[in-house]
Amino acid sequence: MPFEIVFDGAKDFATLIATASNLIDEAAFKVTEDGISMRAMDPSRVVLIDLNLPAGIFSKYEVDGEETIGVNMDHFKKILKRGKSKDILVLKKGEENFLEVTLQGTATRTFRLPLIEVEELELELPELPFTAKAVVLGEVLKEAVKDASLVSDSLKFIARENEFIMKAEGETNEVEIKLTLEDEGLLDLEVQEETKSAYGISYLADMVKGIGKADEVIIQFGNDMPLQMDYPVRDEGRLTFLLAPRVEEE
Amino acid sequence: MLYKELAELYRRLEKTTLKTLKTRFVADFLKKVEDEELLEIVPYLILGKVFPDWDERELGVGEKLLIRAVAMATGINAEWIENSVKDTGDLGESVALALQKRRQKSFFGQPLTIKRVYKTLVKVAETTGEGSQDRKLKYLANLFMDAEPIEGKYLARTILGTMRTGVAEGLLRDAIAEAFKVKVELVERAYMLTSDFGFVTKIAKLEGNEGLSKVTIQIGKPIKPMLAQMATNVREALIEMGGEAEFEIKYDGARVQVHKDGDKVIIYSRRLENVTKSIPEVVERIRKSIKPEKAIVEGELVAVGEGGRPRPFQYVLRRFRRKYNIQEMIEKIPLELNLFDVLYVDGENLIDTPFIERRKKLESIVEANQWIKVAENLITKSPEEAEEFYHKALDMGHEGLMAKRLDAVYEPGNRGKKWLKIKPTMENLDLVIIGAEWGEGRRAHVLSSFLLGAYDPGTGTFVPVGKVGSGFTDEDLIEFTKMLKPLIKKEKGKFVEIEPKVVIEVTYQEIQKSPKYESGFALRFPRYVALRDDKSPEDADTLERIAQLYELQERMKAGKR
Repeated sequence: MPFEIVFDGAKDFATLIATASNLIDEAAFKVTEDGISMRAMDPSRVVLIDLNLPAGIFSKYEVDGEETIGVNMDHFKKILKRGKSKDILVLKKGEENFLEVTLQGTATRTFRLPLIEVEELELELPELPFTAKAVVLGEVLKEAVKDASLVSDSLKFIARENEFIMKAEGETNEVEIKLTLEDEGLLDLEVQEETKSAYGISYLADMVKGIGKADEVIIQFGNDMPLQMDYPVRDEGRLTFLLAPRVEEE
Repeated sequence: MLYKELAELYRRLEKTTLKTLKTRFVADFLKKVEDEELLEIVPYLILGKVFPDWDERELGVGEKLLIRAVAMATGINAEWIENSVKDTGDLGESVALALQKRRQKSFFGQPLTIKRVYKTLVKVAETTGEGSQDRKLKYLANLFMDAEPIEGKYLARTILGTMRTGVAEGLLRDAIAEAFKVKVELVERAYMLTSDFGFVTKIAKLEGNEGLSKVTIQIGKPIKPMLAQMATNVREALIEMGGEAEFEIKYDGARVQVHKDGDKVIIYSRRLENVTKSIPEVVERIRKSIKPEKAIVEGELVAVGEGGRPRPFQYVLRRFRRKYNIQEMIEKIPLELNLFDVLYVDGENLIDTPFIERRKKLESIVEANQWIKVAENLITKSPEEAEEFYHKALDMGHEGLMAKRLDAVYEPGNRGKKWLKIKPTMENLDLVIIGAEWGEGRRAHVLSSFLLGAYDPGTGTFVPVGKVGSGFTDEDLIEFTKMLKPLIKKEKGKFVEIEPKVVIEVTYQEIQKSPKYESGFALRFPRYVALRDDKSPEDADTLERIAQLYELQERMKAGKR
């Protein structure tokens, strides 16, 4: 089933794919009349990725019916990285088994990416009873992960009334990043009960890599429960990560 | 089939030292394997390997990467795991411990199956190039994520190649025979012809004795090389051969087995490791010089030095080890191939053909040139002529002569008297480092004295025969320390016990009878000659061989030449 999809601002799309490619080697994108979606898990099954790009965020969206295309994320990323921010990205598929990736800027550059067999992940995002929700600026999160990786391999998230704390403890060093609603970096905080949970730094680092500094990131978590991180893609679109926790040592 | 069942087998194998019991455990396990694909995989896993030695693929995972993967899967600090080895004495145990204390949770965990373990390890092996370490890390973490402690322990040992359950090829062979009620000789034969326990196990189960006896050599599966015993001189060799023999130069090089199938050429080393990629120029020459479409030939690869004289065989091994800048090595170390046998030509299996016929066939299929030759030979009844030829070989800088019975069929894997080698001195021994001592003073941080073991194929163990401390340069000792450190099993004061992995060649003045070692023998004044990383520990000289050399030495002393 042929399709043609146009996205203005090739670089943003590249960032999105680059972020996901940190965690997964290949992905199956489901292209329907409503939009593009992709769900995958990293090989260690600690992170679940869910990407949702409704037709509305594209400047042209010509899709009839439904098709799933499998791509090697590393190859896809490398091609997209060639695009500049003002370039227009065209994703096109004909009858043949490859994806045509065109970058329109000062010249029209067209790559052909071979499609591969990828098993589609047939699973529902679990509905989790989160007890804390914080909306933070991308920058805060990115810096917190960098700070924490200096001292430890895990980062603890703590939410209390009026306070959102990220804390890492190493054998000798520790770091605490504290945010209240007074701070510019914390946009919203909803806490049902005091909530604490820890997560692996290396996964967090991969997840935040593609976040823009000014993006509003929604973080939800529960006591020793997974962390859900959502960030918007052109308002209507959404990239969601679900990260399994690290439990405390006794 | 769950990996847990295999882990349970390893555990039981490790607990007993009784060979009969181990054989039964392995046999019982093999009987339980229903799936055909698994039948081919499981025998190697039981040996503690993922692939046969001749398979080109290797995991390329060291301790560091493994520890990182376990750390990633458990959320337990890599440093902690590394340090805990001091207490547990075994990385496998430390991995089990880390899995017990696991902190990292995951989504949708599933129990490990043998197939999943195998398939993931295949992916690890096949991951190469940019970012490959990272991808290997993730594949491994995926396995450890779902591994129970006991599974993790043996998984780690499999990945690092340190299984230590005392199951060697002989025991596996006996177990296959026991499991499927087939003749042990037929299992052995099929294995010698194909070097493939997976294939042999499958045939034994599905087709029994009849199928096994029909097994024959196949292009793409190396044949265990026929080996030679030693003779003191050409006269003795001639008598042993019945008065007439073929003598050929015993080139100072590395033995290779070449499989040609059209344009596809595979070259195996003596250890039957695939070395094709390291010597592309030889591959190209074989394509041109070996006329038949399909053939299996054997020869000696010689590094050619100035004036066409051979350089020590270690130069050839350097070529085999080289993975990068191969082009540069082709110029630095040119190689000449001297072919001496042919086992298969265009659908015709020649191993049951008398040697003299095979030699004629070989001469007819090779278009000789500067780089590919048929080994220089002499068929004679005359000891004088043979003696002259022997001196010629030595003058040319080669090791000596091979003597071959004209009517001998090719006996894969057998070290018999149909082939004899004649070399001037007492032969150097290839022995395995099983222990070492930390040096003193200037050498305080290097291992400087090494306990050597000979292989005992009966038990799969290595028995000590001497200590070597001389012949090493300071650089050698630093290299060996680096190489052996990860193999240290136990430390007791200055002395360390070492995982038997590293084979070295030593000279010595003589072999003595000695009560000092359980072997009953001790080497007098052993001296280090070379690292033999072309040999696996199981290829090292055996106790039996040492006993033989001792006899030979005593006979020579008595003047009975």
